[in-house]
Amino acid sequence: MKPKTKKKLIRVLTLYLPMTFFLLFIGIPLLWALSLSFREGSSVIKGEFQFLPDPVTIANYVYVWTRNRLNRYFVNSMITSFGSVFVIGFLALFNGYAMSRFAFKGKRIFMVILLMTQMIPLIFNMSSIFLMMVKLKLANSLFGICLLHIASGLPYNSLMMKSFIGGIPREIDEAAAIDGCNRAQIIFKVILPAVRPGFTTVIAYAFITCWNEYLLSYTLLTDAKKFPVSVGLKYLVGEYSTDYSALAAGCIIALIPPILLFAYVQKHLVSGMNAGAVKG
Amino acid sequence: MKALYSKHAKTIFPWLLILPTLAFLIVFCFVPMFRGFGYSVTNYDRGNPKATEFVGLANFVRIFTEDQVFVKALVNSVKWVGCEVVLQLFFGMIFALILNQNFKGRGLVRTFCFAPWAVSGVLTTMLWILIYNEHIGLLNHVLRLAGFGHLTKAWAQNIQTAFGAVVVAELWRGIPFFTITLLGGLQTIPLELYESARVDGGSSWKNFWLITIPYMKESIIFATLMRTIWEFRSVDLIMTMTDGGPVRRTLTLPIYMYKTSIENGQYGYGAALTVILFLILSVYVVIYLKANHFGKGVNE
Repeated sequence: MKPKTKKKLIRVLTLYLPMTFFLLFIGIPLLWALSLSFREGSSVIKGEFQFLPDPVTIANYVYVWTRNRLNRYFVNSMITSFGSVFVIGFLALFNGYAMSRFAFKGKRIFMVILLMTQMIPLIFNMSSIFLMMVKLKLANSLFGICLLHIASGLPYNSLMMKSFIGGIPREIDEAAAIDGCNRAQIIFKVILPAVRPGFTTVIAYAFITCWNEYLLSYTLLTDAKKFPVSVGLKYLVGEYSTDYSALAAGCIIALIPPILLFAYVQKHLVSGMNAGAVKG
Repeated sequence: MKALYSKHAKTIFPWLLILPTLAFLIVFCFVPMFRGFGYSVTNYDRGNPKATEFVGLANFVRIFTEDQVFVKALVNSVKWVGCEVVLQLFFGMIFALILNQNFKGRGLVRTFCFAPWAVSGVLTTMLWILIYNEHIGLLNHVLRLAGFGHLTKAWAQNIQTAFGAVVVAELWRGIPFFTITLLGGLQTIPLELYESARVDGGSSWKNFWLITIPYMKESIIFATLMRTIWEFRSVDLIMTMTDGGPVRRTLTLPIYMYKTSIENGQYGYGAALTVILFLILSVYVVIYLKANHFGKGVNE
């Protein structure tokens, strides 16, 4: 075998072959939903088999966007997600910096506290949270939802920031301190640029969890005008029958913002590292 | 020069940084949590809340001595977490390595591969119901087309296949999480390390074990830990796909807790189950962190 052919073969075996399997596994459910979303609802219920929709219709999209008021839910989701992510991003940066750079009393306890919040199924806490939010007059308010999103997003994202910042050599902080940077400047002008790929990952992660969050919004929001997309979609699933094609269309719409965000973020993941590393 | 992060420097600066987070967590996580725990020593029943009284450790005694379902649920939980975490780590690592290579259309492939991660629980369940469904499901359609019509079944309701069916659906959504976390870790490896290894003539297999794995240790430990906790407490997918059935094949501990306290209203007993779930996870976390020296790495 010629060396060049061998090299190509290795590349096919180690890169393209597993990638194809992966893409198929990931892709099939999504493409199936995409195909369903363009079909006529009646043909889905009857159990007809069509790989590609025939005839193609956008009626499902029109239906969920206007009749089902997904347009309104979309705006609500945007408000709560952006509001929460902004706070989560910066607090996680602070926590990550504190945990990875300082040996302070209570640091391990703080980390244990962060982990402890993750150990309880949220559904168990729901009734207590509900009663508390009613008392605080924050039930049925998007602001209240934001506060809960922040509390539930902070632990994981802070720990993630800690491991990202931990990967940055301390020498760059110390060099900046010698140059006269104060602590705030070190965080924003040295750490933040160096940890940018990690920071964008955290932001993307926080956004997507807020965007998809269902249980809190479902329990606390009673006013249908304030529903986020996730709750709105659930109302498409009926007790006895479900309009599968409309649901598929709603799901595709709900997927667009996270996917767009990710398409943008993944560039940072690629270009990112080494940018802030110490040279020499 | 004054050391920036001296161990002995008396500074409240790190405390100022974590204070807002602590406030959030105490109010919105710990207060509700401990309130809930309080019910575990009562016989609170939603059907008869007035008869609530303190019963001491009676709920716990009952769980450990009489409750057969608890044992079954615990075994299922361990099986569930084991399958999910091991398979997700294995495939997540492979795909992170693949997506870290240079090839045409990498950005597009990455975006596509991470898509399930962006899919909500409701949608994941719906997508997989549309695949497993006996009548309209894609899997049965394909089997019939391929001439395996005799194999068609209601995959999520069949005793033999239900557990596997939920495991695969959860993998679909979990693998991208590992891939993205590990890919983030891969990006932190200085390329110079590989370059100098190439000069020294190291094989890529050797590089993987000598450079990639040690450098990514913290990401791997962390992702595995979080995933174990999340899979252990996860309810949404199993609940909507199989509801713990058929014949308790997919009844995990949190699902059992949910059924007891929310569906049947036995909040006291359900709270006791939650306390046990919490304790099991705490013990696991402590052992895991000790074994891996997490939080005591070179960067501390």
